[in-house]
Amino acid sequence: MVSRLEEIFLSVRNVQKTYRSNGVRALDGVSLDTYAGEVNVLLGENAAGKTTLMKIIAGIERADDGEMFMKGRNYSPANPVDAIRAGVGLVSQKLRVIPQLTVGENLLLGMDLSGFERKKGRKTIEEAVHRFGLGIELPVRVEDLSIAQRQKVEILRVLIRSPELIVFDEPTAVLPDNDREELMNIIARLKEGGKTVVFITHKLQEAYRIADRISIMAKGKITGTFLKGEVTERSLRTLVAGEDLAASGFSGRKTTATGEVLRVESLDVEGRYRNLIAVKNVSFVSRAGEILVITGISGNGQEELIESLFGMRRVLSGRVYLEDTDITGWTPADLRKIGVVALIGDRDTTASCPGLSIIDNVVLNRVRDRFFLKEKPLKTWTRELLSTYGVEYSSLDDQAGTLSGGNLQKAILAREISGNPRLILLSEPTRGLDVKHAGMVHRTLLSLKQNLSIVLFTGDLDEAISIADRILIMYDGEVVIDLPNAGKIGRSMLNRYLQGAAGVEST
Amino acid sequence: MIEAFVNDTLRNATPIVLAACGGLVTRLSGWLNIGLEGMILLSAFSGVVVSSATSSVVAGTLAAIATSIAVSLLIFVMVRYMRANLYITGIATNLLSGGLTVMLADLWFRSKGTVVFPEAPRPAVSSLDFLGFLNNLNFFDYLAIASPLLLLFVLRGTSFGLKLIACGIDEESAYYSGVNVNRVRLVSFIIAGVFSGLAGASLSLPLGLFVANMSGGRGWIALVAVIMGRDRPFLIGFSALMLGFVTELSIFLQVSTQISPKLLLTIPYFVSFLIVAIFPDRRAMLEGKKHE
Repeated sequence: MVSRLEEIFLSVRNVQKTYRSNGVRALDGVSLDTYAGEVNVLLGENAAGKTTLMKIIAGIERADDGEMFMKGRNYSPANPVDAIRAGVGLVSQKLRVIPQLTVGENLLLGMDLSGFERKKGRKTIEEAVHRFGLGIELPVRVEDLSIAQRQKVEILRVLIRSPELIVFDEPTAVLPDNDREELMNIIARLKEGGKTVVFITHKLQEAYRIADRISIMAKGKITGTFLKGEVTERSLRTLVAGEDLAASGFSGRKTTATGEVLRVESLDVEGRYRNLIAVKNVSFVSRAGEILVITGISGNGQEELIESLFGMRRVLSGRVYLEDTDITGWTPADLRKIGVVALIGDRDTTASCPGLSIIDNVVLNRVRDRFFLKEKPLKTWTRELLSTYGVEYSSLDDQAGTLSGGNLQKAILAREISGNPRLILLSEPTRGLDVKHAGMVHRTLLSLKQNLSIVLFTGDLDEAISIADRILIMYDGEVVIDLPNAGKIGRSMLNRYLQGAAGVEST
Repeated sequence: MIEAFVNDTLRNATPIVLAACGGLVTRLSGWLNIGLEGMILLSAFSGVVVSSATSSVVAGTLAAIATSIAVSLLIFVMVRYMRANLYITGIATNLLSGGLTVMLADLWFRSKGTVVFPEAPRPAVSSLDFLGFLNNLNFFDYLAIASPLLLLFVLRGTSFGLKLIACGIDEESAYYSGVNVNRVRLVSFIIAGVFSGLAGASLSLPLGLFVANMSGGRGWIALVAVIMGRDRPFLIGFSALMLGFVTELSIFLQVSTQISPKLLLTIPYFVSFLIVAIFPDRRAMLEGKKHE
């Protein structure tokens, strides 16, 4: 199982990093060896320092202290160009392809060509696309691709430089199951080709499956490294100190649904591009006391549906009712007045202002009607609210960006719920959170649902199954399944619907 | 009469087209250099001084380009390494250059208004009598006509062009892709320096004189052309040409009508304003539409 060579490819020695902007000590003397021709998995919670370490290896950030050696020689990249030239490629957590450019242009960009070599570059690209068989059309703009396809472009951009060490930083977070398989195959092929792979994840199962060697990281340090044969999946779980979702007691829940809150009738919604209809003839009902989860592979209309429900995208036809009021096409401001709130889009951009203080973020939506602000009551109110929802912070005046992902999500959730809404729309509330923080958000949602209707969009099937009262799957803009989550729903069955491989079913 | 008008328009548009090309490159890189006005003025001054001292148009032009590059690099260094604000630095450059040129003119040539250089050689002009509207054009005018074409080639046909565009759209992604964002911006500022230097030289060398505030807002108008041109070299060239026409029109009307010349001088700015208002950026509108 374990590699025959045991040759260290990259050796990290006692690397330290403190972010000057917020004083967070991200790496506290990390030492890590990656072995040539192996898949080295790095496992750990959010904010353990995994991404920071990879950024230093890829030359994006510089270490404050410590050394790195590549094949025994000193390695200290000053920028990504150095790292790429040394043979290190990073598939980063956030997609780093440029949507406004075409696939071909994005790939060219990663090739470090001088002046007039664009034609030559095109040839290399065509060969690479053929070699890796990813089925990507070069003249297509990246913005017209799904997230999964974009990720393929990103991976190809890294592979095209034939790196020796490839770092995958949580690449499966945005991928549906079948693409995950494809990625695993790519990694297996890279390994066969003698490349060294570092794979970062917080999904234990995945880690265990592909790893030759597993390192566990916590609080800026490597706390242990194991060969695959030395640990079991179960023992890893305790090592990472995460809780799994099933253990938090979510399954087998009874629906507490009462009255109808939201009714959507044959809704058609305009797509991102001209003449495109993103949502076709969608109808559903959401009740008070239940969590309705809408899921589907990214790009099948879920984003557009939620945006249209919250007045951020044009409805072409159909109606939306909140109890008896027709709210089709209302603006977000009007919707908020009658008790519809939303946390949609990116947690760090649309839903919060990372540069503003925590208190400003929390009171942002409540101060619109008054010109002068009184600081003291606002502070007391915010403190109470945040403690109700168990948000951990050091000072209200700290920037919201300093909160951990889970705490930030709870804080903005608290902000939205504080107005006693009747309906809350959420999109990907736990994206990028580790199991512990995701669990915090889930528990908060479950405790809230008695009094209101929650409509939640997620691409994560496990999340859907664990918290939904009702699951609705979208494929190609249509609802293909609308079922209560009563235990008989299995992952594999839902997966078929996600792929559009089954017909339409509803009860 | 029409021919003369077209001819004058072309010549009026020359510094605007050249400066706009420089502005476009910096805009694409993500850091729009708004110090064009000051760069033009300073290089107009140094260009004519050096050409008079050396009796060489080429030396004068090179001096103008060198001056402009130096100022552009100064802005770059201030912004990149001293964390100054890009726009404040650009405006400071524009304000500074007005005073600096007048001070130097007074110090060296004892004149705060117009300085005439009788010995300064003039750039040669073409004599294409059969094509009246292309007659009497100098090297700078032809360069201005060719520049959009050149830029189009750089943007579409070279990997530098691609890197430039990528830096402007998303510098972080470009950085991750292995583009040296800093160097791309540095090069774009040098290119802006070359173009603005040529624009400056094209103002002072053919006249063999320097006038206080000779650039007369052309650097600003070039910026308008950059915005109007929606990042497309030909559209920018066309916008600059049109602004050159409007400038010419305001001069023509000053001579032939009784309307207050001060009012007429506002025509280019007024037209720029109208155009930007009437033809809003469609791309920006599509972006904004989501939030309506």
